[in-house]
Amino acid sequence: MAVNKVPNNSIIRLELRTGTSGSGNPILRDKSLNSVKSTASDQDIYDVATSLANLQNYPLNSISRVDNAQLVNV
Amino acid sequence: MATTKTLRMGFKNMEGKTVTISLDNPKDDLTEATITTAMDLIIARNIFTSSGGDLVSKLDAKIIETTTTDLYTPA
Repeated sequence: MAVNKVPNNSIIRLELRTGTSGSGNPILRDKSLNSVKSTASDQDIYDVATSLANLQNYPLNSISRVDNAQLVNV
Repeated sequence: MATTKTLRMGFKNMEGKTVTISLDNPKDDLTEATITTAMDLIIARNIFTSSGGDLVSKLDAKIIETTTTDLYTPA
């Protein structure tokens, strides 16, 4: 008996700066893009994420890749 | 009265169904070339999937303006 890790779809999370708070700290908002293939390369995800962020008025703070996986006992 | 803008990019997947990717607050100076370049990159890198398979072609791109008028706001 061993546990197998089966990848599910990944998520791209763009952290965008939508403004500045009264005390001068940046206000951040997350934009998630679901249904990203778990087999996608980091480079491809980065390139697509930056090109999408480039279409928006909000400056891009960071790009995260969120990988999901299911554990199955076989 | 508040107006919000959303950029909606439509793609066709392998089954011919429509898949959309939406972004809030698009830049005001977006051109057709800028948007189609981004959409072509999405298709070329092929990182997105959907219930009907990979994204295979561009369908359309729209900017949708929504105007919200408050008729009643509790004090």
